[in-house]
Amino acid sequence: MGLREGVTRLAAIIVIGGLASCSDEQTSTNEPTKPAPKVFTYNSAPVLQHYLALGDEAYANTLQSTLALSTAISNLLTTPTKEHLVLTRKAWQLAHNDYQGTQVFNFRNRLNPLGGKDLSYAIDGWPIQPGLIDYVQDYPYSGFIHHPSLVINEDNLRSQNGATDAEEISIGFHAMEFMLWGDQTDKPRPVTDFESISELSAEQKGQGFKVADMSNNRRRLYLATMMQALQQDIDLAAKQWTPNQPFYQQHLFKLDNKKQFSLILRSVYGWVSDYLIAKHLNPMNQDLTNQESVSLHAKYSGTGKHGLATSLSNVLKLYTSPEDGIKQGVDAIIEQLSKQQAQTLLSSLTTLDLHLTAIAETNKDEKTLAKAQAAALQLQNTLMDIGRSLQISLNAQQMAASH
Amino acid sequence: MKLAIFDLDNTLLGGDSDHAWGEFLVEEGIVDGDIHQQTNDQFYQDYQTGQLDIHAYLEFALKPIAGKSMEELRNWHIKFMEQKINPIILDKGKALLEKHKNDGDYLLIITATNHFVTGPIADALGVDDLIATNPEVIDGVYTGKVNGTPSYQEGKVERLNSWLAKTNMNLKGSYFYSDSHNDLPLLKQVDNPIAVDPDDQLAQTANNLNWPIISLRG
Repeated sequence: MGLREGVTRLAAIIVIGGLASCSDEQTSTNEPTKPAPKVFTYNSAPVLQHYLALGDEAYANTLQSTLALSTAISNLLTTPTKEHLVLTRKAWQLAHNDYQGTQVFNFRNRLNPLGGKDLSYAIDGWPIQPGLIDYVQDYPYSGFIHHPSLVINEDNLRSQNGATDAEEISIGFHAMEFMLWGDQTDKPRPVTDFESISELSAEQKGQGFKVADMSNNRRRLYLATMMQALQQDIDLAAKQWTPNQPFYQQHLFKLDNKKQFSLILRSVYGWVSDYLIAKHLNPMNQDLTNQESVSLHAKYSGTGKHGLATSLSNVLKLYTSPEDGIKQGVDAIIEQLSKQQAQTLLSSLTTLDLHLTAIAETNKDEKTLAKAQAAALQLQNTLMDIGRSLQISLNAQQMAASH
Repeated sequence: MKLAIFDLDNTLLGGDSDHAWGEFLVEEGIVDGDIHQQTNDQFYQDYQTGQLDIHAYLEFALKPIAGKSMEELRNWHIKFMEQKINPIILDKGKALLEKHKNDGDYLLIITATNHFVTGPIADALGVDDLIATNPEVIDGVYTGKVNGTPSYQEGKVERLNSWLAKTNMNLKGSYFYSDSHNDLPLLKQVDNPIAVDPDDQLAQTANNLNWPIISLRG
């Protein structure tokens, strides 16, 4: 079924709020007629179409920038120069930034309508324990790079990822970030770490080492292998959003209006609650000594703040209908429900945009962060109010309150 | 499989393991008695009022184990379990864990107390997994620093989200048992929030939101 056909076929309406119970419907003709209950109807299909198109675009962008990252790593390993290392770091920043833009399209496994594996841990698992991977300050021989007993191949790296603890990260953006920058922001990893070693010293030979065991060579192999794994995972994630594939595009149009809109609203709510409040604006995650990093997420490269802006820009696109097109933003439905709630939601998003922009454009401090946290909480509350009006439960607190 | 999540201190235990560890260190003469005790008490009071500076506390709490051999730490911990923890493991807490286990639920403890202190306690309670604040370990030795997000307040949500992504589990039908208002962010995420011998602030929220309130004491 094509996308357009799906929209037409499923352009049914849903009735929300104030429906009479069965006994009310069987009112005796002798009793006075009750006023008709207020009925709210909406068609979620255009909004879903907009959501899916934006999701597809966000993943397609990530796919493209990940391919560019793969090329940059290949160039770095072929010709390990400072310039190539700088270019690879930039390519990493772009790809990671684009991936942050997909976060409002991440159903998170608690509500993934397709079930299946949540790829976000393999792609963006964080925090990491860098000392398990390679050397860190004061520990020059730490990590599996220096211990040839771990054979570096994709299967082993995937098995190692989270083997004993969620922070035992061996693949994904952040393990790669550590490999490109190292753990010391004032003294980034030198490109010599990636120079190939082709001959052993007499001492190394005497100790039974092979050329492949040399830490530089293992580091090179690790970087290439983790890039391969990342590329595969992003390919798979992007595929789930591609039109005409048996994933989200086809599955979600089979749902009724309320379920479709619930998923969209919950994904926005999950973005605010899990991505913004619990992760990026969480006081537990702040390193105020590092002015470049919004949170400890992406702390080696110090680029978290740019990802936040990209992420929010997609939320804003999702909320707002294009001016010259059909009404297909989330605002199309909220405005029908209540103009006041639509205004409150837009105002919450605008305020959040203002404060996240302030973080991105200036050095952060506790005050700026506190304002952004307050704006995110305000948006969270606004979404919960809207959920209540639409009888869509967004979390346990709302379910309890609506009982 | 549903998730049954439990806070540890003052929920499954009739006391606070982190505070008890501080007392143990003082009693064993491992740290300077008066200063350590006073600071430990002050941090505990801050925790109870929701004012704890978690990073300052962790720096304080992890200092005594930094650089120590794993064997030495293991010996301390065996003594600690015998003297301080076994006496405060609540029978009704064990029964509650057993009930969820029999229901086929996945048992998870999530606590702000660090993994070094709580790992053996979680083992003793027989739960499936533990999310705790992770001390940094390099080359098999604790460095005295924290790795990643402390599982405290909103940090519990973040750490749980990361764990859910890793294990591919979800919160459908999930339970979370806790005594503390510091756990409100996570209590609001699960399907079945339950207050256990709650502090005043949590009791008030639980009453407002019609959450069950139970006691595992006595």
